[in-house]
Amino acid sequence: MERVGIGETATRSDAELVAQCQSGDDAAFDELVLRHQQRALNVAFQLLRDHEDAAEVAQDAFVRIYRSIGGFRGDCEFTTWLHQIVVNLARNKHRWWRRRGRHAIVSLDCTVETDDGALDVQVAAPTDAPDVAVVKAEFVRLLNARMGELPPKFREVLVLRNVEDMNYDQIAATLGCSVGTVKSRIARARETLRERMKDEG
Amino acid sequence: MKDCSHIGTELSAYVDSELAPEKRAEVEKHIAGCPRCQQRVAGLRELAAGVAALPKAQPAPQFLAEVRRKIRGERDTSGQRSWADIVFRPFWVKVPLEALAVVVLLIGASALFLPRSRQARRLPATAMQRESEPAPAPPAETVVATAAQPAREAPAAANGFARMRAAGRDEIAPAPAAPAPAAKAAAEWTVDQRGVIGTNRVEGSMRQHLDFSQTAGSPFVQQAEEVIVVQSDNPGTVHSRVAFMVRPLNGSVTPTSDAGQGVQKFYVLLPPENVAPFKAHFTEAEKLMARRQNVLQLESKAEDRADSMIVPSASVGGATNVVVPLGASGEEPKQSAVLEIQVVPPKR
Repeated sequence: MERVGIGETATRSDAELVAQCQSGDDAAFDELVLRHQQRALNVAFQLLRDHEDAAEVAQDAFVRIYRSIGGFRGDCEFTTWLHQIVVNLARNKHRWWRRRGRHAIVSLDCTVETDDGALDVQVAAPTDAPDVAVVKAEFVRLLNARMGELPPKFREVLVLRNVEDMNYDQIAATLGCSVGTVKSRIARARETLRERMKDEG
Repeated sequence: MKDCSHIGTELSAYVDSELAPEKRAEVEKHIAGCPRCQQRVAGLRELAAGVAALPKAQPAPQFLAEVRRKIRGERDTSGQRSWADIVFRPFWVKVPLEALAVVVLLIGASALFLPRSRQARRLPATAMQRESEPAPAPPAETVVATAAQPAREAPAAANGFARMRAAGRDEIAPAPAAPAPAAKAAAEWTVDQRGVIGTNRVEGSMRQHLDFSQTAGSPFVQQAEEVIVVQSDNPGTVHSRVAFMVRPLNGSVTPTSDAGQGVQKFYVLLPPENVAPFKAHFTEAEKLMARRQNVLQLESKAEDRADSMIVPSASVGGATNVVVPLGASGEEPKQSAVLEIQVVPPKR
């Protein structure tokens, strides 16, 4: 009788892990956290532009998942559910800061070292592959600053689309809006971002 | 150029490969002949790649441990969350908390002040129960006085056939001896009772508030040194008459309360040294009344108990037999003496 080892848990799907969580297996929950912590934290960070806030939101998202996983019926992907919670918590955090008169923190540094982890810039390698835009570090640094100035709704769709690489259907499911809304919002977000980038350079 | 404005919003979706095949073909056809849109597509691709290349946050090694800690509901021990953070919570959390606090305070305040009349009577009673000392059981020497008419301040009971009897306190469970002063409680009680009695609110309106002696756990049940049973149609008259008599003796009475089966009862609080004068006064008053009616009758029943009431032998004209045990006072100085007076309907 072979026991389930670490190597095998890695092959289990999210849905299987969720089912095991629902039957009281805390190790399965740990596995879900370890598998998706990077994703949750990074989305939160892109939305909030603050590492401490992002860590808090990402952790709270998993806490919320742990407490309500019994009611999760698998109507959507686990990651969609996770993204929904992260986005909602980040929105709450935005409001929380806005009430205190603090706006988004904009960091012009591409690399930020914190106690909780390092942020590093991943700039696409200058390959000659067709259809793959080559972005320079300077461009990313500028874009990073401009992203922080975007309205949260624009930031959400851009992050979900290009950071999380979700398609429009998944974004619509995450944000609870129509695909048409996602399409037009992404177009407007890019337009706004492009204009602000032009002003800069 | 005219097609550009038409196709403009589609370019973003084209870059994301989110266009339906026919729409995609249409856009590609346009782009092929439009350098400006080719440039826009390139710009959009650069933007998308730039967003994808934004600095990424890496989770700390303790991320999972933090999640677990939060699930266990533990407080953040990293020191970021100070008491001030908790006190100055977000507005929408703080206001409901404060509103809740106000509601709790209001409920507490109403519990303290609304049933004030009841509290005012109950407090000294319990104080008495705790603090006063039981008297040694005296041998009950009884005097029976018969009166045809109740006391003068209660002419309404003139036709009532009242009978009073007192029994020794040996039937009463002894209360724990305690030297603590009950004088203050008794004093408060006296003030309160005098005020109430002075406004002639003796019966009816007061009775509805009073039920503390109704239960077996009555504060005076174990405290009453003697039980005096009075037969009368009108408990209010008996009450006011007794109240009138005890006032010069620095005593007080509790309001009457329903003891069940038509019996009303109340308690007399007296300085111990005034118990004998009270009883003598009471007996004399009854005698006086009886003499006036020329229906004087004396009985002596030392073995009387509260459960074996004396039936008046001379019941003509509505006599009142009073059986008062004497000798209950003068042995030891006490803070206060308590007599229980039961008013029972006359047996006809």
